[in-house]
Amino acid sequence: MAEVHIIGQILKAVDFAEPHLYCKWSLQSGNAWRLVQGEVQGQSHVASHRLQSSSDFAQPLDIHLSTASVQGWPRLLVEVYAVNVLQQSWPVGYGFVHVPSTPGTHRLEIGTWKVAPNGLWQSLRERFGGGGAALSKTDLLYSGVERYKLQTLSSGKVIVELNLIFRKFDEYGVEFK
Amino acid sequence: MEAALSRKTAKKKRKTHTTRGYRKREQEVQKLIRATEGRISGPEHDMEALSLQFFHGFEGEMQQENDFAVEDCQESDEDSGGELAEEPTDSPSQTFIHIDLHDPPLAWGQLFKQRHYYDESLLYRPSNTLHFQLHLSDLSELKDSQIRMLNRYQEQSKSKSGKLGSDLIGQLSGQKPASFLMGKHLYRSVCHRRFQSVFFPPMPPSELKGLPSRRCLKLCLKQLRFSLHPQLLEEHRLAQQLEDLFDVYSQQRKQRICRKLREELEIARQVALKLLASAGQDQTAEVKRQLKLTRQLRQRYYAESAAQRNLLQRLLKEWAKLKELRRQQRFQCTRFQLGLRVVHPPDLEASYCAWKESFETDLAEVYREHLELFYTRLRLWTDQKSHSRTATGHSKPPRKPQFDRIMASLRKEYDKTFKDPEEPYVEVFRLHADEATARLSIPGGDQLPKARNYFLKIFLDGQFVGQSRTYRLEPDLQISINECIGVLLERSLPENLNIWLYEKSTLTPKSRRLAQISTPLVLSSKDDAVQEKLSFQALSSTQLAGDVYLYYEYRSTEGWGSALHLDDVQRLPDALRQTLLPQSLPALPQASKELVTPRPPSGRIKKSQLPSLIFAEQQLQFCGLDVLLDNRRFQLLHSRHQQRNLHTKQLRFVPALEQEISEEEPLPDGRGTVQLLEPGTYWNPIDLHKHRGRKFLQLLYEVIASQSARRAKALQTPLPLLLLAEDSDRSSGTGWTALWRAFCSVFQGQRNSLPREPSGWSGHQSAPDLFKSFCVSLHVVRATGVPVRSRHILNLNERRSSAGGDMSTSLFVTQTLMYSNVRPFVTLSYGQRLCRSRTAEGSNPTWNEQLQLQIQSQFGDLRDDLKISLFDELIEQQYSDEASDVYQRVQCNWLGEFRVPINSLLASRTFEGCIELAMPKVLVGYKRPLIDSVTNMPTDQYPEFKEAVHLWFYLSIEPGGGDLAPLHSCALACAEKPELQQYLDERRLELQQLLPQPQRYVEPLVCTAQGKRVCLTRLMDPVPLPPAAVPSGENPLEICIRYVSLLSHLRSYDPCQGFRGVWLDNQSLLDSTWCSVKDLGVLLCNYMLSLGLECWLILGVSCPHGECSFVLFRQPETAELFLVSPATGKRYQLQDVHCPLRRIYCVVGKQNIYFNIQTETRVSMTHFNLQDGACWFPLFRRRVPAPQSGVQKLDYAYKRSYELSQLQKHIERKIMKKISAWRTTRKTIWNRAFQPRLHKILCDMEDLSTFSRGRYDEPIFSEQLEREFPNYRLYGFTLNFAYTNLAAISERIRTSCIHYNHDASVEFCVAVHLHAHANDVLSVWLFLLSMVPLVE
Repeated sequence: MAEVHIIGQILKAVDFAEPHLYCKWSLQSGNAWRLVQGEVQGQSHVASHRLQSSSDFAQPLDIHLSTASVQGWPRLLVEVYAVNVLQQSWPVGYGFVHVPSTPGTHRLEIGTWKVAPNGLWQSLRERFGGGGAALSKTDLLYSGVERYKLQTLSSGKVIVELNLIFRKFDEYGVEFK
Repeated sequence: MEAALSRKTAKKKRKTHTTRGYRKREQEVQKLIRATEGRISGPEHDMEALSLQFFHGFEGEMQQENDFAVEDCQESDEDSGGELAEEPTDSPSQTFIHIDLHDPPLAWGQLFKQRHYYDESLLYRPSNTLHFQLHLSDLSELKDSQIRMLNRYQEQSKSKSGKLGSDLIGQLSGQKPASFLMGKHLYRSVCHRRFQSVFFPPMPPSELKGLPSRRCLKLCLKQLRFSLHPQLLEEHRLAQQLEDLFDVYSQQRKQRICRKLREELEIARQVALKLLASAGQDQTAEVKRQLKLTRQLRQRYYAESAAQRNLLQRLLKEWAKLKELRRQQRFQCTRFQLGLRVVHPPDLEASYCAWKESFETDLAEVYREHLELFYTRLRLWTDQKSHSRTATGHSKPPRKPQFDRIMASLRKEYDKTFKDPEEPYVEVFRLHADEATARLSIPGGDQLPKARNYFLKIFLDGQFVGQSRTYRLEPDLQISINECIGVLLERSLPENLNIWLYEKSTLTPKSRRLAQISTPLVLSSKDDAVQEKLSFQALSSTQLAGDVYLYYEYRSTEGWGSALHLDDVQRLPDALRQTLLPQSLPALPQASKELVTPRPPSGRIKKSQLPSLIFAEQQLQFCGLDVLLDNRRFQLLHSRHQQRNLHTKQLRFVPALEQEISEEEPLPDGRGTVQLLEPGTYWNPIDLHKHRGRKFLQLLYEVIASQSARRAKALQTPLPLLLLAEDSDRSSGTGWTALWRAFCSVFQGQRNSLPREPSGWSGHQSAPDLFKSFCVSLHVVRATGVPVRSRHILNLNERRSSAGGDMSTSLFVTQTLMYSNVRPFVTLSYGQRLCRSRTAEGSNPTWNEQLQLQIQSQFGDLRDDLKISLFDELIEQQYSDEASDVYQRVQCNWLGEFRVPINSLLASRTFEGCIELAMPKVLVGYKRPLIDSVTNMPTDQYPEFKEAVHLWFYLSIEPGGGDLAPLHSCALACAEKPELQQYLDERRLELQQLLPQPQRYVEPLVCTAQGKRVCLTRLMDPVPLPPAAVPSGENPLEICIRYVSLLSHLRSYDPCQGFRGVWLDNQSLLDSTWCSVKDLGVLLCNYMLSLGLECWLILGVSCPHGECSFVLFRQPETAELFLVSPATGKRYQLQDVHCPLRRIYCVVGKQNIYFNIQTETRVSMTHFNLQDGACWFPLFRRRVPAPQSGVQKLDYAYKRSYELSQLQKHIERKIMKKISAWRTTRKTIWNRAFQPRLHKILCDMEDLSTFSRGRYDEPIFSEQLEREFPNYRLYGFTLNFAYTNLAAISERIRTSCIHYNHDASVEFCVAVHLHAHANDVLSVWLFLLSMVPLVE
């Protein structure tokens, strides 16, 4: 019954072309993991920065997991969405990162990508407020089976700060040096 | 048999013909290989197969199988990997894992079209130089054939991105003799399914590719032809017919049936001749058979030939018709052209001769057959004659066949079947005229709509595959498409081919789907493509039909070498299988019954015991998952996090170590959702019914309220003027809409938002949830008729006072004392809060006092009743042992109460006037004040002393709930005719001028439980009576009134309760047993209607219920009008000033609605002559009759109530538990001796309360009790109310405060009696008695 505390925040999203962004996030883990306390998914506010191309979310994470196995190590999935003046939103970045397997403080950068516009019409549409294409199945975010069919563009980064506390892993012979 | 069959197909399929040179080289290679290795049996086949397979795909393998019959069995087993050998083969589709084709495409957008390049590097040309470096010493010794062989295998392995195996190199270059390994292992599959074995020809394991999993479907669309089209002309029809005919003709020509038949006929004749010539006696049967065969052949030949000739003739006739038509209409819009080639017989003589010759042979044959027939008949006849001589005269001998006649008939047949010798030989062929000369045109082509464009979309089992280009429809209504679509199928075989025909519109980018064509795909043998002509019909209009010509074929994917064809997967021959597979695997030593895999449902389970399987994932786990789930600490933490469980919600501290958690700590009960009820108790069915009924009504109100609000909102918002959306979906915000809005926002600088969702309706939903504080103020003035203490209760005091000696014993004093011995006070309570007045003296007390109560609650929680209770303060002097030490004990005895539903108080803000308190039927220890003991006046002249306790009061609430938004029921759909609605509108305007008070107007169109508005008169209908009140029984009216008064009222502050709210019909009311007060009146009125009484429904305002309905009916015996309050069941005379009805708005009869237009507001002064036009305004006139019925369910069936004994016990136990719990300081003693007596009283009570109207108490019972138990000081009362739930009962008892008895020796007794009416309407009777033994 090892336990993992994930404490931290989704700090900001940088290098995105769109000014107004919000971020949906979820924590995913394997079968042998159980949530004890905290929220495993959420959505941040819409954030924008006047000078830089960075949106500060400062979305707090405080998750307490218990596990029976190291398999299915948790990972953080983020989807960054842009919002325009008409209150329409569309995804501009998909990405994920595995929660680091060492305790302590980590600053993680999640590189994100988005679905590339498929031809001139699509890109025009994207330009004029219609938004880009979204994934129909979000498991494409992390599973590699059908990813080859996608054509993507890389977009900005999401920066996450995590403090990890591991407990009782040593009882089962897992040591963190 | 199957093996033989497959062998046959294999032979047929084998098309590859090797040249002689190739074969020679191959033999060289084989010889070489055979020289290098002697051990392998039959390698020559192997090698030949390998090479053949390499070059020609696959076909070699088939033949191999024949050669490998039995002797190579072990090798093949090894090659096919043991497990594959068990795979089933009977249907290829079974071997595939079926992947769901309905998955949506991965990314939205268009699918890619892949380009295919012709790549030179993919070709392979054999050469005699080695393509790669081979580290061998004797490279020069390699022969050309060896080098080529090596090159082949090198290429092969390269395409597989592997390396050429060293053993193969050795084998090919003669270095090392290769050896096929034979596996000793037998593989056991865990699966219980019995697979069928598949045969794979022996090959090195590295080459084995397994079963084929992909195929290529090539689909060729040839042409599309419309056989029914708006532009279809006669010529099209003819041409299409002709085309079809020509197809048949050319097919027949191709098959050459006639010629084949003729040849066969010739052969048969020859054989027959020979047989005849050499016929012995023993061969007659054979000769006969041969002759019969000849005859059959000849007849068939005739038939076929005649058909062919017929067809030709028809073809020519049609063609002539078409030509004629074309000439007549002087244009041509079809392309079809036929050409004729007429070959005149070059030599008439010869043709005559041929004809004559064939005719003569046929004639001879026919004649002989006839003769034969004749002879047999003759023989039969003679036999018959000889057998039965008596019957000879009747049957004639058969006649001899006449040659002339036979010849004539044959001649006729010949004319029909064969052409005349002079007739020329006609051959028809199709002329493909080139486009330029064809010059198709349609007359008035300019007037016709523009050329239409069509395209096809192709789906395989619902999966979109591709679409054709768009084609313009030519004047000949044909579209030649000639497109090929290749589909790569991986691990799936589509069953159906669906083709959708679209018409491309010239105006919009959207195209219209016209027709859908569906056909099952036939999995044919790979060689020949399947040609199909699919007919279709337009989906919507019948104006369109046609055919699509297409063909498709399956191919193996063009991989390297020999991709297996599906059809080539062969069953393992049985004989081979017998030897190959061991009959039974040895049983496993440990026979564990635990199988991980589920057993197949069929009974035929092989007895194979397997050890339980453990997933590798589980092996790596730290601990079991259930350990994780059962961990108490995690459970506590999680439950606290979820904030659902009351126990863990407040938990501040959860220990960090498991062993620190004590077992006693409350565990979160379940991981489920919020539990509505206390856990542990099971639901009584009656409780469940009540609970569900309330939920139903709440939900109904909620739904109708939100629906009407939404409709009202929708009616208010105007429709947008401009909708640029290309499709109906406005909210998607893509496409033109978004573009337009973007422009708008740029230019206007403000957002012009289209209405997306009417958000207004949620506004008033949230408003009642506001936390508010209310101030209820009650001004009690006075009361009359408060019961006085009976002598029995008094005697203690009397004794004390007489001991004091200052009390005179004169009659007057005693009576005054008796009359004024009660010290009543009034309390106002809501929930747990209470405030009381000062104590007044006597039976007609005056308080004139203001009571105020602060309530802090949410709107939604205001459900309880506000209670005004009357108590008697009983002061007892207690004397302790020391004479100086005197102290008092105050005891409050509950006498009666008046309940005001807080929702109606909120709605109407104030109540004032005189009310009648609800008194217990039996009040032990008290009695009615005796008037005649005070004065000598008769009772009826002394108006204050009625048989009821009246209270004058003024009740108000601040702030009221006036801000509650009314239900917009006017927005709901109306079931009445528009004319009627208009009429009602007109009448309303008329009426509003006459009404002295505008609020008297009641909308005659009300909302029913169905969410539709109907006229009020429709609600009035005679409905079935409750089963106890069938008209044959006595006093059905009383029973009905009682039944209605026992239905529960929904206490929630909801606009649906008012007149503009929801009116329930009898079914929804009786099923749920919950309603609002106005629905009770409707139900009661309907009951009276079905009892045949003359009755009306009065809509008005009453004191405790606000807007409610009363029933006015005429007593049939006395023709006197009575008012009945449906909520209490009491009836009042019209002139009764104490009637709770305060205002009358309108009177609803079955035929009409009368509005009260009298200026007099008091009910007792109102005239009830409905025909008086000055007092009452009839809504409907004779010209416009009121709409009738349609709302109530006229065949409603009542249900029986559930079993009550359990509930009775429950209630009793609950009361005892509650009273014990409330009396925290003292022990509660329950006296069971009284219980049977109390029960007996209660049993009579229901009948008494139903049938003895007007009497508010039954003094006999209390007097009896007091007489029976003189040694006790008794105080007690009965309570009666409709059952809703246990909590309501305990609330009732708590307000009566009987448990506040501080006498040390007090004993209690409780008796419960339930009286069940139909549909779980229960009347609960409680008797609570407290007794203090009088010990001296």
